[in-house]
Amino acid sequence: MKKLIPLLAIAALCLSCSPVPFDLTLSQSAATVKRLTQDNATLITLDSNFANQGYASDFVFYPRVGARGFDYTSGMMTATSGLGVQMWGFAYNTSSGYYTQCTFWWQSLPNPDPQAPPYLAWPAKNGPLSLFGIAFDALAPLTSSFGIFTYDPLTSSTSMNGGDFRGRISTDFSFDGEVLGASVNALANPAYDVTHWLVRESMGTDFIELRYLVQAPALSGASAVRGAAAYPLPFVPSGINRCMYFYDENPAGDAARLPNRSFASWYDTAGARWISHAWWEDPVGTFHDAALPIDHRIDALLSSGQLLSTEGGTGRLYDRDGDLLAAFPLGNLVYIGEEYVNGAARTYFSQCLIFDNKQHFQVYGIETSALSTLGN
Amino acid sequence: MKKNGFLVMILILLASFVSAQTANQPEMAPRRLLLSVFRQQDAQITDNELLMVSRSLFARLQQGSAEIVVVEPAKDTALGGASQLTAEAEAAGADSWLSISVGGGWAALKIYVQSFDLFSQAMVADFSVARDAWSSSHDLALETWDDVVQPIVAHYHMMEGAAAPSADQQLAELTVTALPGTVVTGIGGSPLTIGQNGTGSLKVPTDREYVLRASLPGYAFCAQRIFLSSDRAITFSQAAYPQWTLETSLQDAAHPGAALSFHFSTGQGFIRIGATTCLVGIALNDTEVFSSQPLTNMFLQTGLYITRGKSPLSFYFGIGAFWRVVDQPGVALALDSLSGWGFNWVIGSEIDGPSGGRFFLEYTPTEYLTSVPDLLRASLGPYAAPPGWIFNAQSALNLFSLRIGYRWNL
Repeated sequence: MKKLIPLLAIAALCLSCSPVPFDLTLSQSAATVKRLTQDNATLITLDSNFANQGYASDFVFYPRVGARGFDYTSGMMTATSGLGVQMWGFAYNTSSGYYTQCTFWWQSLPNPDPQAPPYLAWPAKNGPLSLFGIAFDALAPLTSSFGIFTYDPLTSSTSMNGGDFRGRISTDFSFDGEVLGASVNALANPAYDVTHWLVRESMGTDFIELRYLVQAPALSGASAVRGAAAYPLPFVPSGINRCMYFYDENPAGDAARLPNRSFASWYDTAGARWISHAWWEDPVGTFHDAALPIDHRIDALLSSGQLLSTEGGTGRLYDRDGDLLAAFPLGNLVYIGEEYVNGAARTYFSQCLIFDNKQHFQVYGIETSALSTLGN
Repeated sequence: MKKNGFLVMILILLASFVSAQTANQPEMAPRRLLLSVFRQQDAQITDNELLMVSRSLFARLQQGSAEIVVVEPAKDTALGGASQLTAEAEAAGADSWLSISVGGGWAALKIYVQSFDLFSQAMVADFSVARDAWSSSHDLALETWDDVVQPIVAHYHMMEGAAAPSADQQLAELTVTALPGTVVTGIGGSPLTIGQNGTGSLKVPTDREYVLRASLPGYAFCAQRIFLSSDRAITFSQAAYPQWTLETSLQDAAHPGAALSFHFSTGQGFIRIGATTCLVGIALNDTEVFSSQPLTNMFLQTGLYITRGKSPLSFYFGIGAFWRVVDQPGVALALDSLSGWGFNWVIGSEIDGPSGGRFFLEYTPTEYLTSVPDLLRASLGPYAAPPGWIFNAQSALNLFSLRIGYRWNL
């Protein structure tokens, strides 16, 4: 027996390599998760596991937008792979307790920008289950696409309304241009949100800024926010094909946010950092611009007029002049948008957790006005 | 695979415990009790009936305890005194005697019981019982003799070593020098307790090998193996348990650690403070040999040794709390947000090693407290939960955890 003990000890030690329950990314997100409100009452668990099927680990879940904010009976998931942007629709199956895949769509992205997200997705209002998306090809914008993808679980019908950027702009504005950046802003209106596009003249250097309503099943209400005539933005490098772009409509008419500003941030490869600029007209027709002290990618312009960066798993909140208001860890929390609930804008984050060979999602929210408290 | 490991771990602790108990237990021998049954002068029963009483008692005594071997005198003897019975017991190789003398008739039988322990040189039983409901020897078939057997077997238990020395056994004087209060076993018979003068002696049979074991609370266990052929003096060098020990360890065959322990004066209780780090670790999986995570567990434990000083192998148990500190470059030290702290339990075994230190193996079930159980679960990886893990809404319990290492005396 005595001789057996060392052998048994060695055997047990070899077999006891119990993993340590720690993951730095999850640990970082947990610090913030504890200060957010979990919107979905239970974990959103998919009936399939896409984690080991060649996709990047950038799974994001977008719940359906209902009349009173997010409705968790269905939603769409996005991820990227070597083929491009993938999109799945899921509806909750009460008998299995899982979200069951109901449809699938993908958009080829042969050359996504390695620094910027290769797509923009936003849960679209006014549809049974709709997602507005723009897929960006950094080298050849002409091949990139936008669209509103809609699925109705009741009728199992799908629709895809969109196409390439250039064709839509040419049709709506008789302007031959390429989209460098686009963004979506939440509106209190229950029927639609609004998207803004920064378009550069093809074979030229002038720009126009366009506005569409995001309202399933299609984009509508085209307009040019600073007039249909193109104008120069000399601070935007001619060599970039992709930037993060935002336009502050200031729907509440806040005097402190006048005149309305546009924002762009792009990756400066030579300096290996992000550069941010703002520009505005004062008076109309006279352009002004300012470099902002923000050296991180700007991912969202919030309804508060504040700018949000989520680059590198850290949330950074800036005011419109680029001054840092708060910084907080995000880990694998992904900003998915704003929604108005009872008249107050809330900022939402999606988190993908993979365990038990399944994908699970949680969606967290916080009133946008309280976002800066995350940095305390 | 890992489920089997959990079983192996339990087996190790059981095996260690059994082994320790076995190692700790000297060879035990049953007591040899000489049974002599006499007829008193007023007895109204025949020799055959007396023999039947003797047979009945013999059987019930033997059934009453496995710790007694009942022997009978080599020849019929008349009722005699204690000294005569003692001599007969020694002649029969017994270490005790039981005298039963029967008086009266079947309708009113009186039985006088005496028993003498040669080791303690004490009369351990002296009482009488009566039987007034019998009509003949046939009633013996139903007699249990409980009122005689139980008081006797309650006194005699297994003893270390061989039977008491017989009259013709050569004896030598064994003198043991050790710290006052030390209990020395392995000599045969009762343990020897060292007196205030630091010595103790007794006569023991010669031409035998003895394994002498000395134990004293607060001091390390000592053992000496000797062959005794004549008078001999033995000295035990007993080392007190240190107040402070320093240890290095490997948690779950992966993560190194160190700890400092304070031991209370008797050496039984301890308080331990230490750390196990994941900054470096052994991974041994399909993709990597070493691992590194910016996490360090600081722990505080307290516990008790339960078998310390009685054998080379000792056992202890304890409970403690731990705090998980994240050391992320560029960020101030902070408790992990997945699980900042928790509890663990310790069941450990320790065996003497070189330089006065001790190897140890601990089973350390650990409970991680958390307010984000799904995130903590996901931190263990994308697959099914590892064996030994139990999750609930407030915590995660890992039943499958071992720590191995070495403790040095300071």
